Amino acid sequence: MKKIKFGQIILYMVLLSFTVVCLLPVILVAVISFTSESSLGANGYSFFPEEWSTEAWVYVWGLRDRLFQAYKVTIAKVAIATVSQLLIESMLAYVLSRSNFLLRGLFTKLLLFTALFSGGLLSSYMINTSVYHLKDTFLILCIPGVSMMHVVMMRTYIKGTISDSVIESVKMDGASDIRTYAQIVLPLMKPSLAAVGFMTCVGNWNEWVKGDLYITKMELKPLQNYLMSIENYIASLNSEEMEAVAHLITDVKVPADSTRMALLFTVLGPIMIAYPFFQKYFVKGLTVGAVKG
Amino acid sequence: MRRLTKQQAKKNMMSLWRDKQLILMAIPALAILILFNYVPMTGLVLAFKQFNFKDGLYGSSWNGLENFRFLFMSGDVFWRTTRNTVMYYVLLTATGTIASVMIAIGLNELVFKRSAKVMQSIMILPTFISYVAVTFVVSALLDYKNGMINAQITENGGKAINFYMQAKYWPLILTLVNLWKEAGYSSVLYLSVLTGIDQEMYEAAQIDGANAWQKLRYITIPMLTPMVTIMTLLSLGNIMNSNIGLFYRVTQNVGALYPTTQTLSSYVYGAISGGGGAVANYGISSAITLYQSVIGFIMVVVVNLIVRKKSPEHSLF
Repeated sequence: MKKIKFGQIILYMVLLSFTVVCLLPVILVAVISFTSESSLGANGYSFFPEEWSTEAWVYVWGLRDRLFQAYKVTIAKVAIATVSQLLIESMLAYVLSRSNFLLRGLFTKLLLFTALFSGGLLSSYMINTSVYHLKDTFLILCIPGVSMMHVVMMRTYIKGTISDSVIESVKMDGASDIRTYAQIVLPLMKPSLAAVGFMTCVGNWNEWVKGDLYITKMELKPLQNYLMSIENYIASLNSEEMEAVAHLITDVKVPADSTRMALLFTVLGPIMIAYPFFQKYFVKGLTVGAVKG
Repeated sequence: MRRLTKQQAKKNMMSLWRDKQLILMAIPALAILILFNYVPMTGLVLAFKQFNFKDGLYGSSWNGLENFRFLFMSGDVFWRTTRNTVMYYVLLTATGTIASVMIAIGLNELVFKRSAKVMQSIMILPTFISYVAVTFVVSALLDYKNGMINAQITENGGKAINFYMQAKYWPLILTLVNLWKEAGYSSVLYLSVLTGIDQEMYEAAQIDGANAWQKLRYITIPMLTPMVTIMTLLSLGNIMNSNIGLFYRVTQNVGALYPTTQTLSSYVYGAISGGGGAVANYGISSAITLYQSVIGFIMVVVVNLIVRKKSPEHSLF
């Protein structure tokens, strides 16, 4: 008995250390953002800085106009893309759940093939820019995707929770398909929508490829890409020849390392805040998705 | 016979008319699929063209298999990126699977259930951190001047390592970053299998005098095997694609690291975004994409055949 207890403690320690490893980099970034620049220069990054300071956050506050603009673009694109994607995917899921619908097989095949074969990023880029002319538009950031995994998850959920007889009887009473979907199915599939929605939302929030390839206008850049441009700017300043030049031009203010890390929190913060609330749906949704119907 | 088909056709038309609202509801999804999935597939014709900006995608002149010939002859880049792509697929899948299975078993065995829940939540967290942010975090650890690891090395009298110039460290670095980001997340799936195991099996084993190790070896692991097999097989369809966040962002697309970090996907991405190193040749990049897509497609189809034989309920189609 004593031996088992001992094993449990070892197990606890091992799991705890992995948990800490998962969290440490985030803590390190937070600590760096509150480290004074002179202390960074002397000792490099450390969990225990010699001197604390809020100067980085003051600097970030100074960037508030730019940041606010980036937030606006990001929140708008995440909201539009996520809501429209959920709507489009759930409608398709409902359609594919109607077993006596004649075109069900055809629509399923159309969806499936996109999961198997892709034209790749370059082809999409060419078409989106030269045929659809979506370069430097807000629209390109908002266009929703249709993911086979999501649709299958939702369809499984609909079939599992709402019996065919319920839907048939509702339609017998004269409700159209659109009404059945909007008033019966949609409210009942809330847990599934929450799980898929959170994943889609985080995906859109973290998405940086579109902003990198399609957006050159500064005022249209989402937060992730605003961060990237700062990172690239610093990388170019850090290269040795540029460093020599930077010394000559005295009025160039290089964002300090602590500032970069403070900026990072403008991206991480909202996710850290939202995560605990969605966590339970997320684990549930992931598990539901694993069971194919 | 003809009458029958006519009747059938009429019946079908009526059935479609009855379901017109269903068709209407499917239209937005189908429109997205056609505009942003199917139409871009036609862009792959570029693989057989000599691309120039003036004539555009469809107007550029054909050059047969010239792009592929160039690709195979150019040797170095093509073989190196293919090798890296496949090598990282094997490395990341193997380490990721082992780690997430171990975490799932560990969390399941732990008697302190409340702690297990909190730990799981924290382990999933890195999944939600964008690669743009991960790049910052990794550089905080590895930076030549200020990085924490170099600070530790120099403090102990060692010589600082310029990680962003030394290709040999990156297979390890990228594996660790990937584990940090994905292992907790993937373990959720395995944990859900474990919590579904009938407890009576363990009780029966207990009565038969099985020790903890034997229960793990003869009950837990066999119960997990099907899910591990399925997940691995399904991931094979992506063998030729790699995560550009990891291979392009986190490595900061540094040329010196290409020998061990450049994959087919990051090469193509570099060509599109005009980043250094990769020659911005759309024809060749398109040839690479076609090569990735075709191999990926064959892999999925073959794998699906295997899965369908082994366990039909897990097959994709």
